Amino acid sequence: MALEKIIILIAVFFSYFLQTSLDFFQLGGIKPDFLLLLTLYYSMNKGEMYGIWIGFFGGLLQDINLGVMTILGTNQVQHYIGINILPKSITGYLSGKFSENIQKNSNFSWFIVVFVFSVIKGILLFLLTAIFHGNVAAEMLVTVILPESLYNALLSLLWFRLLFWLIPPMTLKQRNI
Amino acid sequence: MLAEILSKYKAGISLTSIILFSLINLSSHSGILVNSANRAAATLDFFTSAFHSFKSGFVRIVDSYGNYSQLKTERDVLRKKLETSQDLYVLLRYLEDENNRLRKQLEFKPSVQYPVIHAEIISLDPDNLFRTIIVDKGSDDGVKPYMPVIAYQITRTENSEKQSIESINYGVVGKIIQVTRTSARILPITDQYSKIGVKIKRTGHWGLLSGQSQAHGQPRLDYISLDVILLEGDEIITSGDGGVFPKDILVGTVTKDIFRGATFQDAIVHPVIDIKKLETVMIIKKANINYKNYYGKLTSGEVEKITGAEVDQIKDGQ
Repeated sequence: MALEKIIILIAVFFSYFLQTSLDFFQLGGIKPDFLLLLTLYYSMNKGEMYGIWIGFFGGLLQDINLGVMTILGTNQVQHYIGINILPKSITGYLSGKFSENIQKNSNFSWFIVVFVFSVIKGILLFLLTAIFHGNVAAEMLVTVILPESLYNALLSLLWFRLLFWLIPPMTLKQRNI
Repeated sequence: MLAEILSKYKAGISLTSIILFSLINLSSHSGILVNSANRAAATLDFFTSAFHSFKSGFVRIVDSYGNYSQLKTERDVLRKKLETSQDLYVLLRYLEDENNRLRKQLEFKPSVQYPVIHAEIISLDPDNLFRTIIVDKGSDDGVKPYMPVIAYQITRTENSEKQSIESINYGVVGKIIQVTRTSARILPITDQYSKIGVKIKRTGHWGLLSGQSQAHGQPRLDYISLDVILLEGDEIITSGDGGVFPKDILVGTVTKDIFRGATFQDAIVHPVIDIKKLETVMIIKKANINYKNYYGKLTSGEVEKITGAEVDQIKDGQ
């Protein structure tokens, strides 16, 4: 149990570093969301509780990365704690609930689940940004969220296989495979 | 009984707690939250920096196995370039002397030169919707909030004869917004919260350069008088107003997207530095008079530091 938590923690940090420190995966200015892929992988295979908490810690790392600033002259503090946590945890929960009865080792299932939940995460992030930070353009839904979702879905076909190899299915609770 | 209910609805309870946690955080701006986030950032940046060092080491090992003949060719090309640059150096010295002589004659003050801190980027954009740059230099190296950040970047383009032309761009990247002991966060000029006082180099008219959301990617030049004829390719430089950036640093060029409104005109600006391809930056050691507005409580020592010599320096127009 403790070993599993350590493995998850390492996987979360590694996904975070992949996302922020390497530009190798960037295509046309869009990079995949490795933390979301990890959240979806665990929520699909081990249930919604894993999805919620991996989403929470992954989102927290991203929010801390965004930093804190004071807008000069106004003394208004700008921070982002919560803006990535919320969409990722909700997505983790929903994907865990809705993927209970789907075929877990099928490429098609992975593609559809990852695409749909990437879009949901993107829309939630867009709405939270619009409510708490303002200044977001509706076209971001098409120019950023849609390409990112498609990229996540395509990459998941390879990434989930790699995760299955690194974190073997024996350690995961097999549900309907 | 309670344990049973908690166990039965643990997913729902966890999710509700996380939703409440996120919403309370997003709506509040308490000092405790900000300080905690700052401490967490310092720890996270330490690990990010370690990962970056590991990545750099790995890349160096891979590179060292590169083709020997390619290195030889590169060496020959660089030798030729060095010979050319030696000629250029002589010319540059001549022009510098001439410039100083003419400045003296015209009694112009020489443009202020600030010391710079070279920093390496360890983290870039955690998400596709937001932009953040984290560098490996912090308060231990003398970095302070609101110090301006610039960079050199080599770009390669092809001319009509399909020959590769190399040019070195020098321009504004953004400003420091958060500093820990060993790292600092930069707010790039393309971020929606970035606002810089600029002027059009050709005409000298002032404007405000505002970052936009990720969908646009390029900042917008606002509040340009309708009397000014803006042209595509016009160079935009810092005005020096606002106390953050030194004046006359290139920011970008006006694109063909110029919009004339009822009272002002605005335009989309193509930044001279491609932030997504940056590896190193230079932090200009120029203190800002508004530094005291930096979040959190400053100790009396810090206030003393910023209200002392550096403020006098700013007041003197340096």
